[in-house]
Amino acid sequence: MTADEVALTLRVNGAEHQINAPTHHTLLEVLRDQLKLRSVREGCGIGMCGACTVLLDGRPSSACLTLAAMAEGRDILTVEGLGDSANLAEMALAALPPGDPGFPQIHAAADDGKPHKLDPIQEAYVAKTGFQCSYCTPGFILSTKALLAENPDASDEEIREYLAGNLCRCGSYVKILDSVREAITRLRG
Amino acid sequence: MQSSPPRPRQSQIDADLKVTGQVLYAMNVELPGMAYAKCVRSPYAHARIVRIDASRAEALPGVVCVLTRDDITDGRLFPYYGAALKDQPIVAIDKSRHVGDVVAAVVAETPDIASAAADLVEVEYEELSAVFDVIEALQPNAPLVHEDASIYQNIAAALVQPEPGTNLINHMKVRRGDVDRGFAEADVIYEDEYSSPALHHCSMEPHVTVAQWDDEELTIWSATQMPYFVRQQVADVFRIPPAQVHVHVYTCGGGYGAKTYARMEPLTAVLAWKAKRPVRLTLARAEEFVTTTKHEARVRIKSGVKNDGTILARRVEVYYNAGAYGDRSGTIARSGGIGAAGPYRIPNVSVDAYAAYTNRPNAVPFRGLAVSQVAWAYERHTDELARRLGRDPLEYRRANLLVEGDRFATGEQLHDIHFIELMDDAARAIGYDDPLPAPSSPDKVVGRGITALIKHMGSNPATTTLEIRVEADGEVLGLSSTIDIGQGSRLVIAREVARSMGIPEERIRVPYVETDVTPPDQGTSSSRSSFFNALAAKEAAVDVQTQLIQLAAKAYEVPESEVRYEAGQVVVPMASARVQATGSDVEPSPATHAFEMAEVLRAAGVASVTGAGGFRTEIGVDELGQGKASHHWHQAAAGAVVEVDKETGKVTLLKLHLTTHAGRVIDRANAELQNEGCAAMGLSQAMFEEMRFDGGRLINPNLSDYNIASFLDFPLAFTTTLAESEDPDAEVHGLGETGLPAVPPAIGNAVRDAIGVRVSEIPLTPERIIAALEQGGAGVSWNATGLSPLPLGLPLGEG
Repeated sequence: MTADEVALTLRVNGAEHQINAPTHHTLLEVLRDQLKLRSVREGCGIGMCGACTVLLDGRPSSACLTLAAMAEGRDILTVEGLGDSANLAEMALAALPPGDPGFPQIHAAADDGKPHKLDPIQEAYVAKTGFQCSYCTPGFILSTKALLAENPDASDEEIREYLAGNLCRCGSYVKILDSVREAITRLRG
Repeated sequence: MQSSPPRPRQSQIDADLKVTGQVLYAMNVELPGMAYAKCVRSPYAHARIVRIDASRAEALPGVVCVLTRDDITDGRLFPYYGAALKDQPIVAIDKSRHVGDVVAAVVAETPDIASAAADLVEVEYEELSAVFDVIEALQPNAPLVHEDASIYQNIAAALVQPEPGTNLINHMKVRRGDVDRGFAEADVIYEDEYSSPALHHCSMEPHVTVAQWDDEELTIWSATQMPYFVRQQVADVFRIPPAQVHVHVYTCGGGYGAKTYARMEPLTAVLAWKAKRPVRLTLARAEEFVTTTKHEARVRIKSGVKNDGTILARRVEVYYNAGAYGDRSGTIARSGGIGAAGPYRIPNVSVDAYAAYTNRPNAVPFRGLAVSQVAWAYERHTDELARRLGRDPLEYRRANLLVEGDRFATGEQLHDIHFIELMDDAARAIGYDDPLPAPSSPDKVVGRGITALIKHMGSNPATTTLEIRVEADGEVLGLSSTIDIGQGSRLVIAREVARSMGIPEERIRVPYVETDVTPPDQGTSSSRSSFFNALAAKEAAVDVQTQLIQLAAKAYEVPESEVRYEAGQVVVPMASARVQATGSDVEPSPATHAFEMAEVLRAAGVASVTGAGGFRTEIGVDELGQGKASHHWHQAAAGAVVEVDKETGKVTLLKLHLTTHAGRVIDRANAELQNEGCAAMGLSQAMFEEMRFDGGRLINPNLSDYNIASFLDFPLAFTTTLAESEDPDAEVHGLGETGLPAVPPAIGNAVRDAIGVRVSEIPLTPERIIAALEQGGAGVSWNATGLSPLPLGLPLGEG
C-alpha cells in the first residue's frame, strides 16, 4: 500500500472484502475494477444518470460520487447480490462463441453450480422486457428495489418520481414502468 | 435419449444476462499486461501544432509511452481513417481542427497515471482563424478546415465529391420537373427557414476499445456497430491484410450512430503497437461530447401553391454542418436531400443539400440519419402553409400526402405507403377532433400538432450475409455480424433462423460477433438489420437444407430427388439397405424414415454443415436525384398536445403519440421498444437537447447542462402504435429510427397552435418560446453578418 492509499473493509452483497484503494478512488472504481462487479457502470461521472446506482444501507446512491472510503461500514448492494446463488460467470461465458479468447477474468459473487435464480424484480423486468441495451438496467433494478421496499404499492406517479434519477437513453421508459408494476404484483403475491 | 432440462431460448439467455448485469461489454475485457490510454486534446478550434514535447509525461513513473505525430508520419503507417474521405489522422498532424481534437495520447499502467501524464504533454499552438457557422464556411475566403479535401483517399467517390479549395464536402441535387414554372403558376408563394442544433448521441456506454498485438496479428474488442468496417480501416493503417485483424464485439450499450464506422479503434491499435502491450482506451463523458455529434442543420424551404392548396413546386436548401472531419457527411447530405421535400405530392421539386466542414466537433450518423433535420423543416413549413391558406393542418395534409402509386421527388413510384392512415391513427390517439383541454391557468394556452414522415431505408446499396451452421451434436448456430445495440438482434436472428428452418427457437444459438466466425456485414445501422437478416436467413436455410439432402442421399444411398427436408429432419425413402441397417426406430412398414439433422451429419461423417445466405440492395439515383432511392420507404406519423405558459415560456407535453409502419413484426416487445425509444428520443430533442457553443468551445459537455429526457418528462398519455401488415409474409420494416423524426415537428406544431406564432428552432426551450412570442415568430436569421446563404461559385440550379 502506498502513502496515498487506504485500507478498507467493504461489505458488498453480504460478504466482507479487504481492499487497498487510492484515497481518491470512488466506490464505482473499487466495485468495478477491484471487485469485478460488472453491473456497476459509469455513464456520466457526475451523479446525473444513475447508471452507477448501488444501494447503501438500502438507499440508492451514485457510486461515482461516493468515495470508496465513505462506504466503509455501510451495507453495499449491487445487482450481483440479488437472486439466489450465482452461476453468473458461467452464464456470461456460455454466451461466448466457441474458441473465443474470452474474458480471462470474470468474477462471480459465488458459484455453487446451481442455475441462477432471479429476484422477483429481475423476473419482472424480463417478463415485461424493461430494457434494450441494458447499460442502465442494474441501476433501475436497484432503484426499483429501494422504491418497493419503502412503498410496496407505489402509484405510477410515485414510480416515475422515484426513478427520475435513472436515465435510459434507449428510451425504455414505457416498459420500465410496466416492469415496475409487474414487480409490485409479483412481490405482493 | 436422456432427458435434459428444457433449453432456454437465446432471448432468455440474453435477458438473464441483462437483468443480472452480466451482459458482456467491451469495457469488461481485461488482458494480462493491459495498459490504459488517455488522449491529449487541443483547447483550440483551429490551430497549427508548432511543437509537442512529451518528455515530462514520459518521465512520469508508470507511463509506458506517449504517441505523437512523429510516430505516425515516418512512413511505417498510413495515418488516416474515415468513413468516406480518409481525412482523419490517428492523432493530429499539422493542425488541430476542433476544440477537443486529439493531438497526442498516453499509455500508462493505470488510468490515473495516464490522466496525470496527459496533462504533462506540452503542446505549442499557433491559433488560426476558425469558422463555426456552416453557411459562413461556404463563403469565399472562409478559413479552410482542410486545404484540399480532394487529396484524401475517397472510399465513397461515387457518392461524395468534395470541392477542392473550399469547405464543401458534398453537394447533392434533386431536380424533378421545373420549379421555376411551378412558382410562376402558383397563386401563393411561402418561404421560411428552420434550424436544428448539434446533438450528443449520449449512449450510456461510452466508446471503449481494447487492442492487443500478437506478432503480426491484431485483436480488437470494441463497442462498435461495424466490425468489418473497423477491420478494414485498421488493416489499412498498418498496411496488412484484413484477415490479420480480428474484431470481437459483444453487446453495445447503445449506439444510435455514435459507434458506426471507425472511432477509437485506429488510435487504440496504434497505441498497442507502440506500447507493445495490450491497451484499453475508454472515453470519459466530456470526451464523448467532442468525439461524435449529430449534424447541426439550416433549412430554407419555399412552396408555391394554388389557391385550392395544391402544391405545384417546392424548393429546399439544406446545409449540414459536418464539423472538422467529413466522416459520412457527404452521404448524409444525400440522404437528407432525397427526402427534403417531404411525403407530399409535388410535381416540381428542387433540392440542394450541402455538407460543409467547420471547426466544430465531428458530426457523424445519428439516429434518424439526416431526416430529422429536414422533417423539422418540412413539417413545420407545411403547417405554416396550411394556416396561411386558412386550412386545418390535418385536413390539408390529407389532401396532399402521397398515396399508392404517386411519384416521389426522386421520380420513383411509391407502393405500400400509408401516410394518411398513419396520420389519422395518430390524430385519433391524441383526440384531434375533440375540443382541446382547458388551460390549467389564465397565463397558459393549449394546442395540438400532427405530422407525417417519410424516410429512406439507409445505406443504399447495402449487403448483409448470414450463415446457418448445423453441427453433428445437433446445435444450430445463426451466424450474423449484426450487433446487439439494444434492439434485440440476437433474438431476431434466432427467430428468423428458426422460422426458415422450421425448428423451435430454443434450438438456435446466436454467438457474439467476431470477424473470423460471423460472416461479413455492412454494419448495424440504417434500421435495416432485421429486414436484411430475415431475407438472408431464408436463403441460408435453403442452402443448408439442400446440403443436408445431398449428404443424406449419399450417406443412405438414395436418390436426392427422393429426399426432402422437413422441420429439422431429413426424410429418406426406406428402400435402401443402409437405412435399414442404421434405423433403430423403424416404424412398421413405413415408406420413409425421418432422421434428425445431427444423425445425417454423423452418418455422412461430417462435423458440420453451413448454409450461407445474403441480401443486397442495388439501387441508386443519378446526379439529379432521380432513380430508385430506397428499396422500400419507412413511414410514420406523430401527434402531440401541449400546454404553454406564456409568462415563462415553459412547454408541458400533455399527450404524445407515435404511429409507425412496421410491416411484419418479428418480436412484438422489441419492436415496441424501438418505436417507444424513437418517441422518447424525439421528445427529448424537441424539448431539451442542444450542444451550446461559445465559438468553438462546447459549454455544456456534461449531463447536468445537456439534458436528456427522464421519466418525469414523459406525459402520462404517451402512446405508440405499430401499424402492421395483415400479410404474414410482408416485408419487415425497420423501426430503429423511423418514428423519431416525426416527433419534434409534432410538438413544434402543437406549440405553434397554442401560442399562435411560428417556432423555427428546436429545442423548444422557454427562452425560445418567449423570443418567438416577442418577435411574432419572425424566426431564425441565417447568420449574424447577414451574408447571402448561397455558397460561392456553385450554380443555384435551374430553380
